Amino acid sequence: MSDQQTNGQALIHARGLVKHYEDGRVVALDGLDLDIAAGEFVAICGPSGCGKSTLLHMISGIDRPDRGQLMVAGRDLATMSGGETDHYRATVIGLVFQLHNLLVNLTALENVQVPMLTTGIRPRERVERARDLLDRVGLLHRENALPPTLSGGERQRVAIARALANDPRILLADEPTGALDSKNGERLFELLVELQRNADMTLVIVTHDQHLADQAQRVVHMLDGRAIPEPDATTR
Amino acid sequence: MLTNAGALTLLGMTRRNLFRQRVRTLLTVMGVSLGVVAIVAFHTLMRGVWESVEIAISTGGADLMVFKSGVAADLFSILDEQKTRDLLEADEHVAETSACLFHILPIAGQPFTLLFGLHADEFVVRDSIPVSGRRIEGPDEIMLGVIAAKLMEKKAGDTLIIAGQTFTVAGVFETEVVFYNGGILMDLERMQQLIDRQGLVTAFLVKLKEGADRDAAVVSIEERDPDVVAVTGAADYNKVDRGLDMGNDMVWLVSIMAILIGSIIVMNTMWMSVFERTREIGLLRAVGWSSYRVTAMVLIEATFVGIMACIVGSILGAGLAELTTVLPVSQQFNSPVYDLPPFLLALAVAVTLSLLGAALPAWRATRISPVEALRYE
Ligand SMILES: Nc1ncnc2c1ncn2[C@@H]1O[C@H](COP(=O)(O)OP(=O)(O)O)[C@@H](O)[C@H]1O
Ligand SMILES: [Mg+2]
Repeated sequence: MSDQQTNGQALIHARGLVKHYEDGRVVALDGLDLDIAAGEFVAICGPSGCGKSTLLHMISGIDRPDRGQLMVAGRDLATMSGGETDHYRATVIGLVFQLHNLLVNLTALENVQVPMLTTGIRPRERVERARDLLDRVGLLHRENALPPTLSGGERQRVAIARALANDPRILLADEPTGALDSKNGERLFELLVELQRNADMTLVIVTHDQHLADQAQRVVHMLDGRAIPEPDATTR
Repeated sequence: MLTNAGALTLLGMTRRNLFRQRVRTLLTVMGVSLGVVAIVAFHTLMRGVWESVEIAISTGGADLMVFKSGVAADLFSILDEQKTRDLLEADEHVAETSACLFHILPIAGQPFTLLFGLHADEFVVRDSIPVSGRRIEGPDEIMLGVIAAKLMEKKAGDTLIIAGQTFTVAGVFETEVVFYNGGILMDLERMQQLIDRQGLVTAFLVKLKEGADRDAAVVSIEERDPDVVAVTGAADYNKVDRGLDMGNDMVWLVSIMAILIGSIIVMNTMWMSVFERTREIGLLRAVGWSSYRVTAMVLIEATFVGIMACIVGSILGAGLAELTTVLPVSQQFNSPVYDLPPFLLALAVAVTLSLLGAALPAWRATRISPVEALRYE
């Protein structure tokens, strides 16, 4: 692990991240500093519009900051080529969104395999691995179901299985329980926590729910595009 | 194979995407296949004509045909029979000749019947074997091609009125040339009187001496008299008839139109398809799909459409070409040739136009930013 990190630097290392939209009229990130260590479980909280999603987009490499430095696993995302970024998204990052995570005309089993198409593993192994992941999220019995026939909670669990498809080091979830009722939300959260514990993965969850956030090892509060500094950031 | 059940592949995804909008896919396939129909039908018919010309030139074992030079169509060729025969027989390459006069007349209800006059003692008639009856012997006898006999419902022994004169059917012949089979053969001198062309013929069929060089013969004959041209095959038939060239040009024109229209149809469909899937494509990019893979997905979808259109279009096109062999008028002139090239061309065209049409939508798909696509919530 340490070979992929520079001199004990955090797995995710952000300094002065700035992101503007609409020619600077919208400031999504305004000089954000953040460090997340490997294997950490972090919840990101903050009011709507404070830049939480934008931050996850930066870390996942689907968008780039206007200014600032962002190092993930020892690599500067700004210097990566398009192809390297694609590979990074496919293999280092697992992403779960609040909604619309799945391709509606593919079965649960097929949806889980979508990221695997980029890595050249054999079809037979793909299926095996996808089944295993569906099993881990408790949905093997629904492998042939199409997304519209799944419940909201089931769809999010398929999305989590898909996020884990290529065994990522970092799982990023943007309000994954936002569209679920509190009971299903709690269950999904438990699943994420359990997966993180077993897989030695770094887990970053954006959530509005203070109760859920409290279960994380650390809560990062954001406001107006910045992370609010905490006195004791590594408390467990 | 069974162990791969449930495995997701790019091809499988494409198929699923096309199936999701099956009516639209079907309509697109139909649209593109119309172009394929045109290409297959025209090419098949053109190849039929081409082949007929090739065979017509070698009728009775001839090596070449001599026409008047500078005519727009073979039927307008007029040669002085005696002068041309003398000229040809003086050539050291020539073994024997068979004069022929062509004309098109309405006969027995068939509006365009080919009438050709030949001397019974020259090689074309002399060496032919009728399928029924016998060869013409006198000036009032005729022979019918098999298709003409069928269409006019005549057989050996019957009589037929041509240009107000009564003739007796001596026999029925069959050649490999469809437009001959739809025609009527008559004694050359009798025909010259009948259509008022005394001493004139349309062309000479020429047999060369054993071992004579055809190209040398062509040059030698044309040098003897600049007013005549010698043709040895369909490729140089444009010396006496622009029809084949024009036909080919038409076929290409139709093909290019078909390609353009097909491309636009595919472009429209794929553009809509990409637009509708903005979010999905954004998601694919977000989970690590490269823009190349997204491009490939769109292009493969279009290729599927092209291949399906090719299959549908080839069947319909062949059907259309076949239809011309059943309709009475076209039956006298056409015999479509079904060989591979038109179908390969159709496949190449269908796939090319699909890729062409999909290029812009595919490019658009690569411009979809995952962030933008996923923001529409
Ligand atoms: N692609 C975009 N174009 C324009 N404005 C954007 C875009 N993405 C985010 N924003 C704006 O940036 C701010 C932060 O957005 P976001 O990161 O989605 O907030 P959060 O997830 O914390 O609710 C908001 O004001 C939002 O409207
Ligand atoms: Mg958000």
